[in-house]
Amino acid sequence: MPEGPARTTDEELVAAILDGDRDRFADLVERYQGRLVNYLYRLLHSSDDAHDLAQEVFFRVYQALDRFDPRYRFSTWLFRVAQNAAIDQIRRQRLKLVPMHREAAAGDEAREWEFPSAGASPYGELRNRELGDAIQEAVEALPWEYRELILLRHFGELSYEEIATLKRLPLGTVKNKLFRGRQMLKEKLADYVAG
Amino acid sequence: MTHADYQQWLDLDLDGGTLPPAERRALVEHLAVCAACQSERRALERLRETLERSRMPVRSDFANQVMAALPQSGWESRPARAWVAPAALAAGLLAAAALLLGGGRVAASGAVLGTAAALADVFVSALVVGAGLAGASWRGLGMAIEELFAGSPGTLLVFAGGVLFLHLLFLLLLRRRPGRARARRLS
Repeated sequence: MPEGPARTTDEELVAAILDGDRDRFADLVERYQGRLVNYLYRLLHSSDDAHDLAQEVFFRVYQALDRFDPRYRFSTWLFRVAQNAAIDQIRRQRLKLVPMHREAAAGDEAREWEFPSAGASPYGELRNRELGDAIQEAVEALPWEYRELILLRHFGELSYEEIATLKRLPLGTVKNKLFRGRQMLKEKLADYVAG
Repeated sequence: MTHADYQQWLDLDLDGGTLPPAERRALVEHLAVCAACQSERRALERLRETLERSRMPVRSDFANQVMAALPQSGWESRPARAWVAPAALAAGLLAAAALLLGGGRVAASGAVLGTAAALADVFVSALVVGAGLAGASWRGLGMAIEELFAGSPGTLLVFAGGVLFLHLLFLLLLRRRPGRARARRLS
């Protein structure tokens, strides 16, 4: 989330790193780690895999940092690398999982991390777990063209303009797809979010 | 304005507030009187809240782990001013050329003019030699063809047969190649 006006921009940080200040990369990591790990977690359904792949994505980005074009946003570049890496990993996992019972495996992984219980009662924890599963299922049930935009917006926290750049879509299309995606999510989570 | 339009505006307004002021005013007025849209607003707010709450905490030492394992990148070993060495080499070569080629004129008209004149001389000489060689080659070929046509019909026939044979040989080689490749793949 944006902070004060004096905050160093991503592009300034990249310039400082390229000038030899390697430690400034930690600022970029801290700035994006939450968004990146959560985005990857919703794609991979595993906290460990999400952390591992996020680390890999940061490595890749660092190694190619001199090829970063400052005319574009760092965030869109980072998430493009992340999306490609996640798709590759999903493909590899599918190749391994095809002979196994896929639904059971996916359900188990989805429970790896749930809502913070904050001292809730066993009933509350059960409900949180159910809600966590329901969100995962609802997101999974979205057609890919909506799901990827919902994940980029709500877990990657990219702006509409950043998503439009990343996906090379007109801004109006992004708005429309996000609206329709949220409508689908709302219907699937009606038991939890009904007004 | 349809109900669906208001719903889309509502969705956009809640998700970043990028709705133009006029549309936002119309939405607020509509919301004040439409129970269905009020319900829709509550549902969308809960959806956002639910998605927000479902965010996973990142491991506390994640950034440190990334930095500790950060690989050395190729661009780090490159000097910041990578163009300096090639530029220095080019300048050195140019100076050497000035000494070797334009030595006589350097004293008279300065190093730069002398070098330019010497390089121009080399370029012109190369052009003249190239043009002469090309002209001689074409002339030689023309003379050979002229002699061939001036000769007996038998010589012309032998020449035509030779050309035809070369064409057939070339076609044969082209047709054989895929077969060989396939045989190699099968073996």
